[in-house]
Amino acid sequence: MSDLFLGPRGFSFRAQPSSISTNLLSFSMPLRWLFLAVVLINALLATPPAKSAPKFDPVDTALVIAVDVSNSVDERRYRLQMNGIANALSDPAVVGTILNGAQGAILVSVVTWSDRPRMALPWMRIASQEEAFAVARRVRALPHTTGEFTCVANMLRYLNDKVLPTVPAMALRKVVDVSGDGQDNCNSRVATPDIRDELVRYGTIVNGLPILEGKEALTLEQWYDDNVRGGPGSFVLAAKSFEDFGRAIRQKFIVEISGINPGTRYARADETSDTKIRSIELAPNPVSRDQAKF
Amino acid sequence: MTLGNAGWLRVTLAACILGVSVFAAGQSAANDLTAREVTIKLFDAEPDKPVDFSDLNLTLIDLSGLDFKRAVLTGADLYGTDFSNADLTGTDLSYTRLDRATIIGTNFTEADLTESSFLRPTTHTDTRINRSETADFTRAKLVRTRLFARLDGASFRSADLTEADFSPLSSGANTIAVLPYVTIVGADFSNAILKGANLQQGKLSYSNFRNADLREVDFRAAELTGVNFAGANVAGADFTGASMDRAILSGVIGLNQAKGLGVAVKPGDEGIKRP
Repeated sequence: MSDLFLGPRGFSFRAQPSSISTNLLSFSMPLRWLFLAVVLINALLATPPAKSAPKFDPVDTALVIAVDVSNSVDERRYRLQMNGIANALSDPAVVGTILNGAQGAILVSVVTWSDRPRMALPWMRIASQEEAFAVARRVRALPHTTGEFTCVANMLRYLNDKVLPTVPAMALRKVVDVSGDGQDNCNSRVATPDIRDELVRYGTIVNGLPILEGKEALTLEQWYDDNVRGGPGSFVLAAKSFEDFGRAIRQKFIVEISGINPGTRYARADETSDTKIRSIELAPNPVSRDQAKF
Repeated sequence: MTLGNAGWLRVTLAACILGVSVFAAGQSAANDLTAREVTIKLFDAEPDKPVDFSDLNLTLIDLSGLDFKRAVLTGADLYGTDFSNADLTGTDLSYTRLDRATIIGTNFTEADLTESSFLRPTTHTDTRINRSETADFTRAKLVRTRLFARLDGASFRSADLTEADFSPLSSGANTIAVLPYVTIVGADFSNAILKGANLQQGKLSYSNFRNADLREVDFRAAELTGVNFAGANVAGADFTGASMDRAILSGVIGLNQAKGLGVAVKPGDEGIKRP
């Protein structure tokens, strides 16, 4: 066993006889310093560069709301989604959940996606009721952008590469909230589950809100569960229709922002919101904060 | 076992080699950054400390929409990289390969593109050219840049295009060229420096070269219909075979030193506004 201590002439080794450290004492002083310098340089080269400090105070959740604006989403359906998000963000239960968090604050951004995803609302901090109302107003005012295809994988790639690396504060949880009324139909280079798994590897939770309206209504919930949902405590919560979107997103926000376990991976569209919220409130959160990555 | 000085010297040398090898391995891995890693570096960049991407291999990745904060990319390989709507203002892109890059709506204002190569970049989302998607090269430095692209409506205002080469690409014998000549219709080259540039066979109709330095520019067989040369210096420029219908030549400097105007500017052509 050997100890390193700082003597009057700098570092030296205290070593037991016949160990390899004995030799450190036996070779000449210039060589010893050269060896130590090499070790030090190697250590410095192996040390990753320090990251710059985040721009804002820590938050409980960094939440990306990814909204489908593909061809099937007309102006009425777009407004139902945006108004649903705005109403949910300013809902007293949601605001209460935000303010009751450890940091009492969240970050929210909105990405609209179709052929190409787009940051419709940049990261905004909500740490008070007034800020929640202000964000809700901005969400309601977002102009309708359109596209043709439903490119789920491209959207997840965008979130992974461009949006989540730019969270301007340390966040206990990073949650992606994907809503849409169809499966990926883009034939992207990377399959949807592969990029979902990449997001999960970086500590992101991906939740799904399939809107069960249209020709894919019967299969979409399962597709979201297989291809979109990922990460500890992740879940799929379906909306029965675009009209039901507001109810579903409110319920989803409460679960996502609080970080409590929804109890099941599925919160099916035919279950009432009251039932689910009760079960959420009673259930302790197995997704503990030590699992979260800063 | 004990080691003498020679032995320790060998151990030290081995440690040196190991350290250099580990460092080099780390460097070679960093030569292939992902889009996420590029985003993080740019996001973490301190003001006034541009990120250094020099000589890196950043080919075929999606860097669209990113603000490069005057990053240094000199010597980087950017083949096929997607820079759609990226902000490359003031970046150092000298000696880069930007062939087949996507530059839809890209902002190259004040960028240094010295001796870079821009062969067949994707410049628009559709064959019906939407000029709002055209890249912006205002005040950019394109000295000796090799460019072959369709950039209708682009701004090269006050740019430095000294000895830039916009000449046609030579295609193989059996190649059907979709874009046979550089096409920069309706572009703004006002106050730009194009001394010694090669615009041979370029489609430059209705572009604005007002007050530009066009000395020794090769305009041979170029399409210059309706081009505004007002106040430009064309001394030594070669217009042989160029089409100059309705070109504006008022206040042009060095017109008598230009070559080939006798062929390009047909006497009696009423469309030409003579000085």
